[in-house]
Amino acid sequence: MTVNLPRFARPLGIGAVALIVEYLLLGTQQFANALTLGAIYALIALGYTMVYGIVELINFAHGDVFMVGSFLAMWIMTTIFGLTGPVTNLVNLVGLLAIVMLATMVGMGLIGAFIERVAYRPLRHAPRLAPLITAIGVSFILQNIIATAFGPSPVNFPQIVPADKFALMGARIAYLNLFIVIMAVVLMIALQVFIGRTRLGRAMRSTAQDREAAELMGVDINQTIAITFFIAAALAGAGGMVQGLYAGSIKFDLGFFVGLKAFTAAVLGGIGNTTGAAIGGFVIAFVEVYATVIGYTQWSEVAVFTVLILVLVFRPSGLLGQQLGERA
Amino acid sequence: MSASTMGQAPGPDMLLEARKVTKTFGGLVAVNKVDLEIPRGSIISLIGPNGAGKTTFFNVIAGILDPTSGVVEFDGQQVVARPVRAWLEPVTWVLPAIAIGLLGFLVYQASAVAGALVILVAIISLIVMLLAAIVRPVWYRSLLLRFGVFKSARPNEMVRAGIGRTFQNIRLFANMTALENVQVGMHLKMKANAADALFSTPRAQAEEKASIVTARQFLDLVGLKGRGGQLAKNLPYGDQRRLEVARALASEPSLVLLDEPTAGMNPNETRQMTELISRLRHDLGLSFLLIEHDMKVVMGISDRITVLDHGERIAEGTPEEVRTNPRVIEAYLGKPPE
Repeated sequence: MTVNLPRFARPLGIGAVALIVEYLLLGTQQFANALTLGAIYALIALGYTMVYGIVELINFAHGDVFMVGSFLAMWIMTTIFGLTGPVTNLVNLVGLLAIVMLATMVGMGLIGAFIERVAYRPLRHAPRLAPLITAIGVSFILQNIIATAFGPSPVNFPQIVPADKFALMGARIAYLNLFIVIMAVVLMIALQVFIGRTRLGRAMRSTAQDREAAELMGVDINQTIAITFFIAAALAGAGGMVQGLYAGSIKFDLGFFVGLKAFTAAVLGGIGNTTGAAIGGFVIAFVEVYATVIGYTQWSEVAVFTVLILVLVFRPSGLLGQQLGERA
Repeated sequence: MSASTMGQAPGPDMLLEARKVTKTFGGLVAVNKVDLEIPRGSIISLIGPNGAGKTTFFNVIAGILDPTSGVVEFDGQQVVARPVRAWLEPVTWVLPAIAIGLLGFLVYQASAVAGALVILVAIISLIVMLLAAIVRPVWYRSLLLRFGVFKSARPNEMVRAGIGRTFQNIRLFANMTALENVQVGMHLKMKANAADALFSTPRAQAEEKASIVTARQFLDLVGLKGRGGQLAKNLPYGDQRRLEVARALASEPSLVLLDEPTAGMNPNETRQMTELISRLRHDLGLSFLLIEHDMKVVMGISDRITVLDHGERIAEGTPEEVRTNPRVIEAYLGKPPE
């Protein structure tokens, strides 16, 4: 007799264990910070992992898509809504956040699909190095467009969420942190449902596993890949918006390091695996925050990329990446 | 369930007609002017020694490969080498004529006789192309194929037209359940778009539920009742083959291409697969094109057999005719010593 564990049991278990260990090591206050940072990393890591899963491309422009997302959100807030300071009316605040987020996500999704169309689709049958280098080119293009349009120095991001805090188990946590984590979790659950239970999600999974077979079953792979890039960029856009709210100012090269860390998260979780990417995001954020807590702030990035190297050496398929071995 | 009506749509008696299909890879002629006809509701087999070009021909029909020349009509519409840029078609033969004509006009400035000659060449080339289009449409089409005016339907469009297929080496979506595999096959029959998925509209939910019911029926049809929840990679070999058939059926095709459906099966599984194919033809009115090495299977279920060798069709006929055809025997066993 075989034990029929639900398929989500293993990722859920790993995620729960990771969170508990984090909580015990960091304490409530820093745990809240790590969760917030992790939510942002996870949103970006999902984009890396989805794109890799379907076209086997490490989309090095993805960090910059995230950066463009935060600038787009900033532009929508300041230019369209004329926002500069906190919005105190709760209904207005929630409505504004929802509208700005939706607009940013749709806008970034379209930009992501456009990048795929002009930069990656023509190279789909080229050797794998070619689109990789194109991705780096796209990264430079995005950075320079933003640097030209908004200037090379940091730009203030309107702090529309009041800096109020609430007490929780001896810690004082900003409402913004709560908003970021809840939003990220909602988006991730929505993504899982989309991938798992819908026609287009199935098309994505089948294309990722065997593109030719999927096409011969009637799946339009051009459309499916475009949708994947759309979703990846939309999630990065959402991440970019909350990054702006969280950090207060944004800069044209902000995507580089955040992108690398999110990429590390995707590799750690098992690139190609969406649940793994989410877990990886939280783990990487934990490593970074923990390095700060024990007094090695300037070493935090070293710690993160040490994780990347260790994963690549000892478990190249990541925490949950059992799918990769079959395809590679 | 719509499966009961599939394959019986009114249309020409000839479901698929391939004319002079040629495919070359560099200098190698993999398939050379092969004709094939598949009447509605029949089982046609394609046999031949290894390297005879069976799979290449198969891939042309499935839309994976563009033929070098030749046409394939499916259900009365052209699927391979059909015009994708129809407006280009007249241009391709009018334009050279106009170009030559302009050249002639320039030459006419210098020498009236030479110019008139060049203009004459332009008019003749125009007439030749026009004649070619009428008298030798196959040649004309392959010419346009080379110019990129004609192109084959993409594989997913072939599925929409009504061609389903299975693979020589099983290519299921291994990490998806059997049910999900069938649901992917139903992709084109479902309509939920990105907006439906985003807002989880009632329409999309109802469709998703209905698709699960239908997918179960397809699984039952091939004898995989109750196996829907298992991952495809965990199914036994024979069941994986059957799941491939179910997935191909899920797109509700009128023609199913089976690439060595009994490869690697034991005699018992082979018999079950043969029965399944006959039953599907009988119950659903489907047509099948088989590539098969197992002669017992081929002789047992085929209505007609086409034999390929070195890319050419060396025989075509009923199993009896093919069995006794000396060229076929020679292709398989070699020339008898003299």
